[in-house]
Parts: sequence; C-alpha cells; structure tokens
Amino acid sequence: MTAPSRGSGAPLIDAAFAEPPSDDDLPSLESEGLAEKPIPLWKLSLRRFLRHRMAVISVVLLVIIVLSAVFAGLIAPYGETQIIPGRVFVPPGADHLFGTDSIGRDNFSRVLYGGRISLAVGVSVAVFSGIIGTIVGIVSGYFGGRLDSFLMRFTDTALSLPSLMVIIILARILGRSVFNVVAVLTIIGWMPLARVIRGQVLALKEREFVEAARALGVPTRRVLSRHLLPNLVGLITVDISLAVAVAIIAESTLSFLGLGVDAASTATWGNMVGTSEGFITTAWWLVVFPGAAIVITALCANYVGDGLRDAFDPTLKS
Amino acid sequence: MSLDTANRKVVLSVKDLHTDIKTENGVVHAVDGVSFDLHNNEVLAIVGESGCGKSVTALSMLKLLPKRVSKITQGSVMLGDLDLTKVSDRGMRKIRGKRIAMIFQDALTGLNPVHRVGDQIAEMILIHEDVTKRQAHQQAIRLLDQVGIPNASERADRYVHEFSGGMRQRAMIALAMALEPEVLIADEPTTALDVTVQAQVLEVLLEVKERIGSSIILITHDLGVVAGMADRVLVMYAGRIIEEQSANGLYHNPMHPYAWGLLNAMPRVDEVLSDHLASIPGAPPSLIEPPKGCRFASRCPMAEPVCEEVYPEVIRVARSSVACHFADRPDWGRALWNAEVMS
Amino acid sequence: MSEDDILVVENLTKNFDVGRGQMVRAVDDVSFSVKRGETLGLVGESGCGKSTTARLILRLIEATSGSVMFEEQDLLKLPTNEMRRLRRRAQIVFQDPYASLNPRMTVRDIIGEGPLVWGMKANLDDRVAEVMTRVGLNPDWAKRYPHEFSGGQRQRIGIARALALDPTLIICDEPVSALDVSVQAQILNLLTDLQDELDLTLIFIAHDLSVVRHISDRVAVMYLGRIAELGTRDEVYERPSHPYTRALLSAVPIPDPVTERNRARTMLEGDPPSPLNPPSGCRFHPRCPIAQQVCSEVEPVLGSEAVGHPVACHFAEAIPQV
Repeated sequence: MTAPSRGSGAPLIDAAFAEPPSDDDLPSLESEGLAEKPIPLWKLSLRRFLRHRMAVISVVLLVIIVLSAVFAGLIAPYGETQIIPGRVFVPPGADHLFGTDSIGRDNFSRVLYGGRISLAVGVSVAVFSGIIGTIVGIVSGYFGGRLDSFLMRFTDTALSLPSLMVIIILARILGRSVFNVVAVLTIIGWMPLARVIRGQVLALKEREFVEAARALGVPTRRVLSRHLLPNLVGLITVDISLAVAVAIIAESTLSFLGLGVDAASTATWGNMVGTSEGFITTAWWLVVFPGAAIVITALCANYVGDGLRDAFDPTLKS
Repeated sequence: MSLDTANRKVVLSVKDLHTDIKTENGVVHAVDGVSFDLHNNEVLAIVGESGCGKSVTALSMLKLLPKRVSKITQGSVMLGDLDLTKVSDRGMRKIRGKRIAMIFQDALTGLNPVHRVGDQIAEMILIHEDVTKRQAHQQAIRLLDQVGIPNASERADRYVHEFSGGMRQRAMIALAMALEPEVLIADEPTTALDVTVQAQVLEVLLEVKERIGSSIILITHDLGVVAGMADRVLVMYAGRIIEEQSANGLYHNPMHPYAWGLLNAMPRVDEVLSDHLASIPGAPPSLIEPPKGCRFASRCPMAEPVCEEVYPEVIRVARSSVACHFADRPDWGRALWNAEVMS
Repeated sequence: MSEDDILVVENLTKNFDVGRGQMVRAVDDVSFSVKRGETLGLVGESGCGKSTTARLILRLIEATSGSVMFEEQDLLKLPTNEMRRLRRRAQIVFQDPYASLNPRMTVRDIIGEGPLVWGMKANLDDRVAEVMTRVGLNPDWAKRYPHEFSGGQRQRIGIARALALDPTLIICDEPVSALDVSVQAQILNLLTDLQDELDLTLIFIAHDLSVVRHISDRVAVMYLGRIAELGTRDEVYERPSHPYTRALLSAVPIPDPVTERNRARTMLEGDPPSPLNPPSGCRFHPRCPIAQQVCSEVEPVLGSEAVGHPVACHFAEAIPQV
C-alpha cells in the first residue's frame, strides 16, 4: 500500500498544515484575501448606478424637471391662468418661449405649473401602489394558503379586464379631481407590483438564510422585516420608478379624455394636450411642448428604473 | 499506463499563454504564463481549485471566452502547425468539433435545448462531412448507442431536458466525438453527477477515447477522478502551473507544498487517515495584482523570505517540473514521508 | 430511547403534493437515533431525502407522520411557541455559503441575531466576538458584509451563527460540498475541534462518502427516501452489506492511481429512479446486481438479524464479504 500516509512521517509539515487557528493566531486581512477597508453596500450600489450613463443623465433631467415644477412660481414669467390681452396663438419666440394659447395664456408658464400636478399624481400613485403592492405581495407570498389564492385570483381577474375601460368607469363614478385621479390609478396600479413582489418573496422564502432565521427561532415579524424586506428594497424601488412613468402617462390619458383634472381650473400636461389637440395643425406648440414633457419624464423614469435594477443586483458579488 | 511520453507525437502545444479577464474590480490575470504539451492518445489532467485558471485556460485554447471581457494577451496554442490564437472566428468554427471538441459540466451549455439531440449530432456531421441527411441521422443514432444510451433510435428524437444528468453527459460525449477530433477537452465533465453515474460516464469517456484514438485534456478539481483517468497531471495555482508530473509521480511523490497539501487535505473512502486533515490555511491571492514572489508563499508552511520576493524558477527533473524554491530541500516533509512509505 | 440518545427519529415520513393528484414520498418511514456527542453521517445520492430529513427534524418543513424525540419531547407535536424555544438547542449549518447568509446584514447582525431574539442583548458584541474567534474569524471583521468573504469564511460565519445559541445538536446539511478541497479540510477540522471542545452532537449530511467516513462515528445510507443500511463507520465502510452501499463505495474514486486502477468495481446500471414513481418492492431492485423475484414484490425491512447491523435487503447475509 503506497498511499500517502500522514502519520509521524512528516511531523513538521503536518503540524503546520493541521493546526487549527487558536485565539492568538487569528487570520489577518492579507492572508485571507480581504480588502483593506470594508466596502459598504450603498457604495457598491452607487458605483454600479453611476456606470449606467443613461440613468445618470435621466436623474439630472428629472431633477431639473422636478425643480422647475416645484419653483414654477419663481421661474414662470406669467401665472397659470393669467390671460395676456391681445396675445392669442403667438408662436414660440423670445417673448413667449413656448408660445401662447387660444385665450392668451403663456404656454411655458402653463407647462411649468402643469408639471406640478402631473408629477405629483405620478409620484403619489407610484408610492401608494408601491406600499399596497408590497404589503399584499409579502403577505401573499410568505403565508401562502387561501389568502394567497384569493388575492392572486382577484388580481388575475382585475388585470384581465381592459384597464383603460376600468379606469374610465371608475373616473366617471368618482368624478374629476386630483385626489380622485390618484385614487383611480392606485386602485389599478398596485396589482402588478403585488404579483412581482409575491414572486420574489416565494423565491426568497426558500433561500437558506430565511430558513436559518426560522431555525434560530426568529419571530415571523422579524423574518419579514429584517430578512425579506431589505432584500426586496431594490425590486420595490425599481418598480416604483417604473410606475411613476406609467402613472404620468395614465394621468395624461385620463385628462386627454376629459376624465382627469378639470382643465378649466388646473393645468396638467395631460389636459393641456387634451384641450389643444384640435389646434395641432394651426398651433402645434400647444400639443408638442406638454407632450414632450410627458414623454421625456416617462422616459427618464424608465431609465432610472433600469439603472436602479443594475445597482441593486441581488448577487452583489464583487 | 506507464506512458512513455517522450516517444509520442505532440498534438497540441501551449506556450506561455496569458489571458486577462475584465471584472468590476479590475483586470484579472486569470491565466498567467501557462505552457504544456499534449501528447497523442494521452489523458492530461489539469487540476486546481476554483479560480486557479484551469477552465479559462481551456476556454482560451478554443477561443470560447466572451471577447467583450477577455483577451489573450500573449502566447500561442499550436495545433499541429496552426497557432489557434491567430485563427479568425470563422476559422475557429471549422476547428471546433472537427479537430478539438469540448464537453462541459452542464450539458445545457453544450447542447441546444430547443433542438432534438439526434438532430444536433446529425447537423454537426452534415456541416463537416459529405453525407446525406439520412446517413448523418443514422450515424447520430449509432454514436448515441456507442455511449450507452438505451433505445438510441428513439432517444435521438428527444430533447436534452428529457434526459437524466448521466444521459445528458453521454449525449454530449457523443456529440463531441462525432467527428473524431484529435483533442477532447472535458471541463468538469462529471462534477454535477452522482458518484454511481460518474463512474459510468468516466468509463464511457475512456472507451470512446480508445476507439477513436484522440487525446483528452481533463479539467477537474477532483483528485480521485484524476487518479483513475489521467496519464499526466498539471497542478495549477493562481493562474500558473506549479507542478507537472505523471499521475503516479504526483500522488506518490508530490514536489510542491501546495500539491502535497491538496493531496493530504482529501479524506479517503478506503481508509481513515487521522482525525485532522491537512488543511491549507487562508485563501489564494487576488489575480488583479498578484504577488511578485511565489503565489503560494502566504499560505505555505515552509515559506522563507525569498519566497515572498522571487517567483521560483521552474525546475525540470526528467519529465516532471515544479516551481518551488525548496523542492529539493532535504528536510522537506516529502522526503521524510517517502522514507516512511519505502520502509 | 436509551439514556445517551439525544435524538430519536421514528417512522418519519414526508409526502410532497406535486399536483395532479401525485405524491412524492421524499422521506419514507425513516427511523434512527443519535447518541450524545457522536456524529451521525447521513449519506446518499441526490434525491434520496437526506436534506428533507434534516428539515423535518427541525420543522423547517412539517412532517406527514412520525416522531422526533429531542430532549424528552416530541418536536413534531410541540405547539409553535414551545418549538421556537427548543430551536436554541438544535441548530443547522447549510450547504450554500452564498445563499445561507443574508446579503444585507453585517456579520455581527447575522451571528448576533440568535442571541438578540433570545434576549441576550447585554453582552451581544462580546458573544459575537467569542464565537467568531472560536470558528477562526477575526472579530475585527464583524462590521463587514458577507459579500466581502470567501466561501470558506462564509461557511465559518454560518457555523458561528449556529454556535451563538450554544446548541447541543447541530445538523450540517452538506456543509463542505460547495468548497474547494483545501478549504473543505479547514471546515472539517473546525467541526471536529468544535465537537470536542463543546461536546456537540452532529448530524452530518453529505453525498461525499469520503467526507462522511472521515467525520462520522455512525453512518446511515439512504436511497430514495429510505434507509438502506445503518451502522458504525467501520460496519458500513469495512463490511458494507447492502448491495447499494457496496456499489456506492466502489464508485467513489480513490486519490491514488495504483489503488484506483486495480479496484474491482460494481458498476451500477442506469440512474437513480424518480421518487415520483418509485419501483415496487425493494426500491433498489432495478439497479441491483443480485436482485431476485422477491425483491420486486416485497419491500425489505431494516433489520439487523442478517449481519449484526441494520440492513434493508432480503439477501444481506448472502453477500460475500471482502
């Protein structure tokens, strides 16, 4: 038998190789190949996000759009509903950057003010949908059983209805106001998110670290808040940013159809396009500028979502 | 199995191969100066732990690494008179399968899930050989039968996902061997399989190799598999070959401390050695900025200051080689250990 | 239940409903006991039910029937809150060093979570530092996240998490199968040392027969949800009496070219059958080299009459010993 035997034959090597680390012989950074300084998770995520060029440009654009809407009162040369006598259908130029409309209101100022409502609606719908969707998704995915079956059947059914039709009917029932538009869009909006979150929870729940937590006797509440939720944050953030885009477009659609916020009192990008579509051949600027605002904002929100998806890559292997 | 490699024709010769891989954290010098010869009809094993560069070596030889993130920066891979590092993508397509074939750990890498298994083998034969469709299909069935797939004519019409793990590996061997290539690279071919199935697949691999007379490069981390299969063994560590020996030589007389540690770190199924296994402390160095000295120095129980400073020259003894400053040191445990074995 | 048995598993069974009215019997009438301070190896190929058995014992999944006696109580009958209390005494170490640690928690939070939820807030950092040292991790690394560590270090973190609650029993579910050989040896040595120092009882689940031989005092071989053979390490490895055990042992490669190439091999035909549709009679009979008519009709029971240790084979005594 000529197998490599390990006995008294090689005491030096043997001892050196086999000795388990003792208290005063702990591994050092370099011997274990660890980086000098710990890299915090957020730094890794930020680094990845910054590598996504379109997302970074989008963030900058969104910040400009949001700030100009918030400070519309300071930036806008005219008021939201202010009528400038004698200035009807002025094309874009030095006096009126985006031109004026049929009754002599400054289009640039109205796009700025309209952004307030459109953005507010978009963000609130996304956030409310996000909250409801996350709660339903986690509960449904983690506990399963009848509750899960019921919730999923329900969303299946709701999602299989033509959503535009449902939105229109709901909007008609509730009436026209900013609050109602948010309510209608949230009622429809949380369902896809809940399904995505549920799917992710189903996968996470089988991960060994969740099993390990259960084996330690960690209470369910804590399993959900410390182990599931932090690992869903990436997904939720991505989905919310994408939902902002969807909600802004949905608000525009409602307003365009005359079911959104009342154009007579409040400007939104959607109702600006909606009330001016008749002038597309004669005063194109009334449609193009608010329309562009909608498209650019939605596009940017989508790119930011993509960037976040990369940044929160769950593998996190370096 | 005592192979006289000196008198055998060299079919593939790798010289000073360097491959870089771009990662998030920097450029990894995954393969950093690897040279070896593959002789006619031999089984050459490349062993090492994960990240040592053994798979990257194989993929570089076949130019299968994604171009976007990897680059062969230096060296040559000679297949006969042809330097594969200089062959175009189109040229490589004619060589892969025909002259060098590869078997992967996961059959889904090697076999297309949306085509029938038999059709894939037949198509490969059709591309490279002047036969009719019908003949190619017949030949595919014959190949599947030869690798021990029962009801080959019926199984040929099925998809990979309908095959069990062992059957998938057999099918991949059939595909790889279809054109009787000179060289077969098997990258962890049985790692995903259960032991009883592994034994079957390894036997099939050796059978097929004998029948068509090709040479095999077997890449694995499993020293047990190597013991049963290989004629010669290359041990890789941190992107370089640190020892090259005949299988018998390596297992009975390892020259590099790392090889010694690796062999003695393995528990055995046929005997209980002792309560403690040899364990190599620490972890391999980063290959983004590899240490300038011996790459094993930080983990080596025998390291001296010189080991940290100077990369050891490769010492050649007969047909073996080793890269260690102290491979010939008399008090190195290997000598003592050999003395015990001899007595 | 003998006095030094710490865990007694009896007739443990788990049926998984896989839809379309089909049931998989992942674990089928499994019984064994574990003595205080010993290591029981549970070995078998993929799909044999060894990992499910681990999860059934700890009630990470609920058993269909059977009993698990641990510290004088049947775990399977305990109400949830009392089961939670007993979890401190029985811990688990997982296979995948990547999936088993929460990527969004620091090492300190991962290891300290057990003590924290059990109200040991006072000296939490000391406790974490203590177990980290014990498993060979530098306590200075407590603030780092799992992604910064190598596979072997992560596995140490997993072991430290299990140790933090001072358990008496640790179930190790393939704890080294994802690791490289040299790191595997580090972890195996660590487990051996910890067992000696802390008087731990281990159930060691693995598909690698060499590793199981190295670490176990007793070994149970599983095939398709049932125990085929159960005995001391020497009984199973030196005098294997189930044809499956023998085939399994002969299939494991030995890292020695001379031995490896001159071995007599029992080569098994085919793959392990699907647990969805297990063979009648003895589940091993379609692959068994010595199967007779009776094997396809009657399921053999695990009995020690034939060879002195429990074997589930009609012809255990007829197998020539080497």
